[in-house]
Amino acid sequence: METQAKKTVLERSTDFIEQKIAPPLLRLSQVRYLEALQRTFITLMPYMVLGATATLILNLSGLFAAETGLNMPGVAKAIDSVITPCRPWLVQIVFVTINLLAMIAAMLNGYFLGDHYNKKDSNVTAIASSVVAVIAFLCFIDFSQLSANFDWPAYILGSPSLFGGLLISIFAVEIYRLLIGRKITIKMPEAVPPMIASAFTSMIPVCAVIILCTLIGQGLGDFDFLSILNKATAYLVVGGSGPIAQGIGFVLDRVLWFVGLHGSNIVSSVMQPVWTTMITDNINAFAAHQEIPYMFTEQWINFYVRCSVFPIALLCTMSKVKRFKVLGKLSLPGTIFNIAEPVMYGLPIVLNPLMFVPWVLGFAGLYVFNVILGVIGITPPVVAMTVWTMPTPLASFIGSGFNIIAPIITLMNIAIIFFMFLPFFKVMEKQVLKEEEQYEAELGREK
Amino acid sequence: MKKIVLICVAGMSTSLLVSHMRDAAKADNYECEINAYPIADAPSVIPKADIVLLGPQVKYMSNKLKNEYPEKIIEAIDMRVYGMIDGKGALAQARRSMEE
Repeated sequence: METQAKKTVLERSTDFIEQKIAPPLLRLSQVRYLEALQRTFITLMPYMVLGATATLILNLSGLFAAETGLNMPGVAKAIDSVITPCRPWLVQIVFVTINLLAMIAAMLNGYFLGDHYNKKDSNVTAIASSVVAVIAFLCFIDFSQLSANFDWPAYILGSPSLFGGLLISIFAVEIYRLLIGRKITIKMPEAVPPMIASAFTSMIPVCAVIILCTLIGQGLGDFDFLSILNKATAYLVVGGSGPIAQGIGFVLDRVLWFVGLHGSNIVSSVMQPVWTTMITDNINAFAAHQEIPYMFTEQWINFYVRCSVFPIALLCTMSKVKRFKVLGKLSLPGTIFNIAEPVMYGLPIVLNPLMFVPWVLGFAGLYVFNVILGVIGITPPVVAMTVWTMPTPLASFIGSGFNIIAPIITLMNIAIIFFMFLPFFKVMEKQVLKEEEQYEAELGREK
Repeated sequence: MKKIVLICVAGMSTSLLVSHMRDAAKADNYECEINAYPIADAPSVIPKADIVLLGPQVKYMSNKLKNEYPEKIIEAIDMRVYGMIDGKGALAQARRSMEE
């Protein structure tokens, strides 16, 4: 009887990641609240990119201003003369996107949570949950103050209330669906058509949620529940925004990718509310010409550290191995737009012991290096969002508010990634070439 | 006509594979409809699909999706096939699974 082959270090560590590290994270990302959140932020993304871009354009001339910017008042004036007529439109776009972030998030989160419960109880519908969630959130807003404080960027329906809005929407949908599930509803006599009866089903649950939220939101005198919630979550964001918390997230992302799972997607399902608050606070601070609060944003990781696997695809195109060359040609255009999968699975980096070193350890080192650049103030913080397929040097240039240092740092990091992978790629190339030679030699013998 | 649905996170990297799969299908004279979607669209596209192929990076979704759609064929695309954007291989995998 054959003894079972001893597991290699790689197999054992892969097993460990697949069985011990990934499952709890996956379970976490599939918690209904986080799943609803993920879908909420996916839906929000285009509006946020649009709002951030409008903010950026509004503040374009500041970059060339005499004291604060590049000291090119002529250019600043020229830009101003173009932007000023468009100003009302741009401001309007910012208002309906970023300044309503919390309200729209509460609405979407309610919708997706309702969609989840709809699969279990057909009486709970997504749209009804969405409406009850957004109105429950508005119960916490003091409307007599609302128009007076219609100021941008600290607007109460915007990013300061993002966490509060999400929590209130969860609270509202939970009570709503519990009451419906317990059949605490108005029951119509049998003779009433179902269409009409169902309209009355949500009567009691909706009243209960809205009255309860109004009492908590407005009925407690000077006790402003929402602003207390907002302050508490601000601490949470500060806690999750440091380089260590972000670094743990980033290394997990690399490790998960190494076993072939979409690490970024799994990690972001947990980090997204913190990340979104960070970048919108940055956008708002930028618009208000204040100091930018957060350096280590999600965009900072993406634009400066993660960059793309472009350098690896480039190595492939220059390779002597035919398979790598084909892969390089196939994947290079995609990697410019941050599509990594062909390289990840084709080379592969996934489950390739040689590649573990540059992919996990190398990137961790690059992360630390960039944290240092950020801490000593060389890296310009990101103050705008872009679509994720934007080439990273361009993304960091735009994201930093057109600071020329940003793309230089990104390009430098891309060069570092290239040289980080180069020695390991060469070793792998040699191995493959050797295998090919052997294979051809064997073919020759058979002839 | 068979409907083949590919799913990854944003529907981007699978869309690369889709065009290669369509070419392979044309070369084989195999009539089918192949499309790529982001994972967020899964609930609306899966009910209409004959087979659902997941990008290997989202294979962790397969158990959950199989629970939700027990009658559907749902499987992850082979890593190498995916990496080399091997449309022929992916189409072959889909046809094999549908015939079984």
